[in-house]
Amino acid sequence: MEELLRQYMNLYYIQVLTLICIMMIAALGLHLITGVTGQLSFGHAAFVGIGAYAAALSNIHWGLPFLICVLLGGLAAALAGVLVGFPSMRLTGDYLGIATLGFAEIVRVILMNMDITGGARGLAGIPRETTLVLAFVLAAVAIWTMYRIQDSRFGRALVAIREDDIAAECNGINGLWYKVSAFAIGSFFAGVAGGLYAHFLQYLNPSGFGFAKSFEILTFVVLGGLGSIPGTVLGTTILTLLPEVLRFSAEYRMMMYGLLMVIMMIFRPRGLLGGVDLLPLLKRMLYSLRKKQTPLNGDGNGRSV
Amino acid sequence: MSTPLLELSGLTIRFGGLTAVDRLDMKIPVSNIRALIGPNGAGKSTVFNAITGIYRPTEGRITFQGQDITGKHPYRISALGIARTFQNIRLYKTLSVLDNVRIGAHGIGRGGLFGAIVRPPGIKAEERRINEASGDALELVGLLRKKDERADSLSYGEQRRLEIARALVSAPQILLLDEPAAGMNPQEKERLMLMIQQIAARGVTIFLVEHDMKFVMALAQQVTVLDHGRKICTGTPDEVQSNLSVIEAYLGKEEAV
Amino acid sequence: MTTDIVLQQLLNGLTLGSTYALIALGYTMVYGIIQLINFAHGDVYMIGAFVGLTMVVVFGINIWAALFVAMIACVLVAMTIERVAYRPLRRSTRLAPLISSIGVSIFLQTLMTSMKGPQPVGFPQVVSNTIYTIGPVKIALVQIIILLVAAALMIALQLIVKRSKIGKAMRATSEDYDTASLMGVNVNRVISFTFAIGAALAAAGGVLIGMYFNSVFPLMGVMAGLKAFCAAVVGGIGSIPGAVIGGLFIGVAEVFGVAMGLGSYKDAIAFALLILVLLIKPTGILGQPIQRKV
Repeated sequence: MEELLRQYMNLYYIQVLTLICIMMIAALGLHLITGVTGQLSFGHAAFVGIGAYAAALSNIHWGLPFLICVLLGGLAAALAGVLVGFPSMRLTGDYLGIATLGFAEIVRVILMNMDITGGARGLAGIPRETTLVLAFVLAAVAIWTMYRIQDSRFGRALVAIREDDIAAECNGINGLWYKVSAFAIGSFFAGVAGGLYAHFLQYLNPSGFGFAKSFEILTFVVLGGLGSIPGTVLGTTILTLLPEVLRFSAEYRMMMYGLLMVIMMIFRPRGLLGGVDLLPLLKRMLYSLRKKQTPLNGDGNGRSV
Repeated sequence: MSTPLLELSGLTIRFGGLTAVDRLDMKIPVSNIRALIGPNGAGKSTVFNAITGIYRPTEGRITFQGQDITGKHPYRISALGIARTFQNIRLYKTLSVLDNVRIGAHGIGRGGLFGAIVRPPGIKAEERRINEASGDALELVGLLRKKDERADSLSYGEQRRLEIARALVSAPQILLLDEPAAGMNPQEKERLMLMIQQIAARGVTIFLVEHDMKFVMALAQQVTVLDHGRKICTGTPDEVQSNLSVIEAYLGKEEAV
Repeated sequence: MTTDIVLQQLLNGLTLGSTYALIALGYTMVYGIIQLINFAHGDVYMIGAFVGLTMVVVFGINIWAALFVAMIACVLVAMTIERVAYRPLRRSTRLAPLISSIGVSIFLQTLMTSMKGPQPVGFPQVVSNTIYTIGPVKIALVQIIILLVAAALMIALQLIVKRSKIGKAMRATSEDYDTASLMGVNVNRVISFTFAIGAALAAAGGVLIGMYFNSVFPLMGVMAGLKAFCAAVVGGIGSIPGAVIGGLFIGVAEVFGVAMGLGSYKDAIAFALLILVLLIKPTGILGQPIQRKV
């Protein structure tokens, strides 16, 4: 399948699309934690990193099948998510964000100092296993799963916590349990993305999973519209494409990226699709398009409609 | 004499140096409509918060259906059959009216992550039950036709009714209403009174905090008066109304202001 | 570890910690007044260092004048940032100013990197290399200068906050933004001023660090900023004495950590302390516990 694609598409485009799909999975994880459950997490990339290293190392050292490695990456990240989430979830708002930031940095430093991860030199020689097709399929599965989660009793409980955690508790929702669960699931997504990422880039370095990456993923979610799945998809796509589009001035592209974020926040702080309910909006647009084709005055019997 | 549904024994809540509730004893039998009145800052909402597990009592005990629930987590207390509304309306603002009530029905269901993704028939049946119960609750408070509107787009009175629907949907044994009539006009209050009487007629015990004396006197079967965290007196509305110390407490507060 | 070594490391730690404290003050004051974690603050520190460097190397002026210029420059930078990137978002969602501050931070870092390259640039030896011996400890002249300058600035800050009219306005706005504004406080001016003082202190910290380590680099604000932020939280975010205590505490902890062999993990020390404090007492060493009204 991949070879077929390569005949029709420029390799460069394939690379970019694959990266978008991978990042989307990670972003959806953060969407669940921050967008749906309202818990600030500034260390999401650390979980991507944990998944990436876990997947890469299980492939290199144990020779496990690729998909199993990716799954292990997800599970390792989920486990880390529980360990971090459990003590942190008692904290609220900014304090939680700060704690996750601190944790992410600690993970990065630990990864820098472990021999098995190659330390500061990084981990090289990871086999290329991630294909665009696989990444796309998994991204689609991730999106579908997220919709299923949000439209369920479980998802409603998460949103309740975001809207008013005290009222949620009084409605029988165990805040701590649900917050840690959201954290674990979100981290699982991040870990899977990490596993795919490792086998795409073929090289890992701890510095790539620090707070800078965490904030990058956060901007995907916020820019697109916090709490909106289409928003996260859109945000990830645009912001992954942007550095590529600005590639012409490699020196200045990060600078413009930063500037762009500031401008976006000033003119559209709720994100592109923030507060926009996409499905009803699309239905209304389609409806108004259809209406234009029907006669304006009355039905066939002469009565006005 | 059967065990009271809800009992407070020596309930004391202190915040640092401030005693908000001072050795409060109360017994609320089943199917009672009990009101808790008192001047602002008397500690009424604090009592509610203690019962529902938001505050941990410093001393004393809270017993529900013979079971000690002192200091339990709010989500456990809710599961036992205690539901409430809030003084400062705590709706899930950006969610729809229906979703607000469906979250109130959280205890009816059991489905978790697996159920959400896989959706076996048991979960689908559960969702139907939740939707039905939610529809019924909304019907009772007269908000069914607004079920898809955003909660924060409702008028103030409608929001209060929505909170009641959300509390009711879980079929609680006792409903704690924290100033349900606040900010309502006389017609709305009339309607609210009828609604509460309907709810009580279904066998739900009502415990309410209210400032509107006419409302309380017309609705409550028993009234307890609180001032500075201490119980001043308790009795039928008529008994309490004529009680001098109550009048003093209210007068005293007005003069101080 | 002998007492001599402990005292020596304590001194080194306090010196380093003083610079963290100078940066931490900016974080804590801004957070105290508008509940914003100003991620760009660390980069203001970096700009201070570079301006100081440029003044000394390019314009050949003496270090004290350079320090002064650096502080002024950063005051202007910070006030501009506040006006352009934060003020429009004051009534917006909670995350918007945060994202904006990250954008500014990225912009400043990459701007400086494109101008100067990512490699460290040497900061000339502007004070003599003299080392004094006081009992069991050796103290370099530059360390004395850092401690004295930091202390002087902190005292000046304390005087401004406690004794001046604008200081009172700052405290009032910190306490209750809406009431202060209703009482006639020009909150915009107060907030600008808060950013300004924080920037001046950070700039001083940047120049002092340049003098201490004889080098500056465009990404120096990243790690120092994060650690200073940890310091602010550890000491109690929103509390000025807290920021000082937090900064000194983290500086000392870091130096002792390295001395005890944790060298390669030294960056993690600040974060580990941060998490420890957040788990035990989230409001920090000097913070007041917040009671939620239900």
